[in-house]
Amino acid sequence: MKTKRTKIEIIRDILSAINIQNGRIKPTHLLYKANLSHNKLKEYTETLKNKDLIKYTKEKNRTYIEITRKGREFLAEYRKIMHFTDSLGF
Amino acid sequence: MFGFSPSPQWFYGVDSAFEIVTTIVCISIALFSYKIYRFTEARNYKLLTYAFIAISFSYLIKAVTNLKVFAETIQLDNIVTVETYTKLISIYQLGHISYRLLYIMGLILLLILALNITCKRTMSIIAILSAIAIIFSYNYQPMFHIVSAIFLFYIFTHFHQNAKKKKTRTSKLIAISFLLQFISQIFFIFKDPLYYVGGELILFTGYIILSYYIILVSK
Repeated sequence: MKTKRTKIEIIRDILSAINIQNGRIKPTHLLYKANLSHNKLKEYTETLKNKDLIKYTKEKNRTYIEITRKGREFLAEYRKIMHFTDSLGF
Repeated sequence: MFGFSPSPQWFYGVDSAFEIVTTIVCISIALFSYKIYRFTEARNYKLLTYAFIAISFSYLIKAVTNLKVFAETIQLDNIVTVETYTKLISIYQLGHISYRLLYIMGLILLLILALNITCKRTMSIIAILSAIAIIFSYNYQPMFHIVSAIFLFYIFTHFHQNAKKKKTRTSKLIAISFLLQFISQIFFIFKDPLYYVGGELILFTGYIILSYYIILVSK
């Protein structure tokens, strides 16, 4: 049985999903790529926006979610972060 | 140091040097944890940051207090006035009360994480009882180390179980480090110079392992 994703794993999944799409994704695409409910995704994207890990952009009346430089930094640091969290077990 | 420190004379200053290194190790862990907290806003990393900040400051205060008292002591002649003695003992006691409170606060935060305590009333009762035990106890010094040993034992069991589950080198290192910290507190309970030196060496080894751990995870 697959275990429930931790908060940090969900953040990694969201940012990876955006990064794979050349750093920009439509919110509806992100919804199924990140495998989250609408409410949960909204909650996470708000947090990530406030933390400057993502930003919203508009083009031709369409809203996109873009990964920021800080978001890319997080993905680069993710391995270290997971190493740290795994060894602590919190 | 007029007998209010269990440290033997030849060890004065060495323990403070250990504590300064320990402060640096704890600050490194707090900074790493804060970095994760900035990204995730997860409660665990906020608590971990606070825990290691409290522990690092506790060691810094202990080191500075001991060095201050030691420096003043070596400047004195053989005759010590009551005024000087009172001043030195006040500095020592103030520094050590701050050290004990900050250290226990750090351990309580680690215990909250290790036992996954979410009930605020449980947290507050642990904090209140610990503060009462280490401040108002007639024999506060052994009491402080007994309370620390109990907390460290439970923290160690969490890391031990995690190491058994994860089987990684870093998880084993952190478990060994906390086991050594627990053993060192047992040594400190006996107010004996040799046990004190033994405890300090074991504790320092524990923090050296912790520093190796943080080097491994941040590579």
